[in-house]
Amino acid sequence: MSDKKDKLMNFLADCAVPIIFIGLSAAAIPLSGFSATYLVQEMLSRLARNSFLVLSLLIPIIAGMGLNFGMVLGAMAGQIGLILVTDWAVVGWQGILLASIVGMPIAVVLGYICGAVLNRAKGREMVTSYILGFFINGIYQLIVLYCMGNIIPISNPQLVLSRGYGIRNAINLMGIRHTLDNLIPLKIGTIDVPVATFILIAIFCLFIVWFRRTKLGQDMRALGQDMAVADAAGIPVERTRIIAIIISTVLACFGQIIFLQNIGTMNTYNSHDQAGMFAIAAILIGGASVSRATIANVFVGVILFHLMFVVSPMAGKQLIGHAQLGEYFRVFVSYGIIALALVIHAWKRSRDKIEARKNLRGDAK
Amino acid sequence: MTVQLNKKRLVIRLILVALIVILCFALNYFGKEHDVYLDNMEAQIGGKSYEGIAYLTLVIDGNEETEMEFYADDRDVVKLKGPSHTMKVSVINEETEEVIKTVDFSMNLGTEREVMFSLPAIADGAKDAALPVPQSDTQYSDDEDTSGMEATQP
Repeated sequence: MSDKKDKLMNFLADCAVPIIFIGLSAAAIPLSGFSATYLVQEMLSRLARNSFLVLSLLIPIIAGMGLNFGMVLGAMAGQIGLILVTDWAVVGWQGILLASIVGMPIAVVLGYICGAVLNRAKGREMVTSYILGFFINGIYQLIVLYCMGNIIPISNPQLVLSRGYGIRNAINLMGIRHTLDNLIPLKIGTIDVPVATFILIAIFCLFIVWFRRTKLGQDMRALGQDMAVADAAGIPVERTRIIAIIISTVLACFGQIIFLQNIGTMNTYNSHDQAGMFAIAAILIGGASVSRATIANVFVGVILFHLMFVVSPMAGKQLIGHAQLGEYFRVFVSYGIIALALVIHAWKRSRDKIEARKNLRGDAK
Repeated sequence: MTVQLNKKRLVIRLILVALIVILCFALNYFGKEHDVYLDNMEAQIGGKSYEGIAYLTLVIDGNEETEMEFYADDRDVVKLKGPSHTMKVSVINEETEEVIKTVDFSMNLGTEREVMFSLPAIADGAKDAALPVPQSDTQYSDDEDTSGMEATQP
């Protein structure tokens, strides 16, 4: 009986966040009044837009480095690639590929810096990467606001501020808008399916499955379980951790490019800001924790998180009369869920420790 | 042995970097978008003068759906991706709708961002129909670009 109760408690603790969100969505969908077709179209579009960014969080979690708030570094690298490609007037899939190639080395360098810093802050990776994001954001702003047009030549007057240097606040990405989404067109009824983007996401998922089985992937899993044991077993801990962060940063760079090609507009100084926060909120809502995450968590999280995004303003309007209140509620829930997931994780860790101590003691009083 | 292995690895890496650089140039060349100005005004090219044509239609890359119409003194701009394109200029009598003349013209835009062609010169069968690109007087205001704040939310 006690065993069953423990199992139920464990299940609830593991799935508390998705259960809360499923409950909230179930209540909000009928209130919003949206049709099923509209919601399916929105979910498909948002799944294609965000999944790659959220998937980039998996590898650091495997390596025991927690949620990589430093993924905004990769997002910034992707944006620099997009700014340059827009200046060079390269459009279509060539533009997306070129932006990825230009952004990749920047992401590698930023990932290396991030990994090296995190190696000096073992056990406090999340807060360190979060603050590092702010620091690199300052450098990004310096480059974009002062160096571009001054040191880095930018010839397109539509990109440069009227003073002659610095990039404008909003960049029109019309040349690459929906390029990837519409590369393989498929329409089922009235619903557009972005096939090419989903193929790319599927390839990424296969890469993660394959990567987990490689020597490096196994090393990362060993690190994630116990760093001291992995070190004793001869695994180069610091190098492996740096590689994990570099891979995550590069994938976040590609993810941001996919995200912005779907949106079609880039907010030069803000687009990357919340990329990390929203991706982390999504993966936590999907049932992942700081130390454990799967591909399924990513997709469940993206769907639930964005379902709330879509339905909550309208549900708020129907319920209270103000769409803005629904939006406030959604923002409150998004950030609250990160706090809740972290609290649940801390509680579970402390409970597991107590359990382990109890088991060690055995029957002895 | 180790030195040889490292040397081989270095060579392979350098070749890969060179290939990526070549790929970048190829993407820049084949994916570049060009602003092509089409001018149906009086023009002088190579000492020969051309008058604007009363009425003509223009089809680019055989795409009949995007057929363009030009009257005398018209100027328009199209955005074309890639270096090579063809255009078919048909000079038409507007009243009888009789096609007087049809000329096919090949454009090689290379890496130029903006180019301008004289349609009367093309209709006359001139090999060189390029004109100097007009200087834009457009001033882009810094205040215009506040849009997109909400559009970049997930």
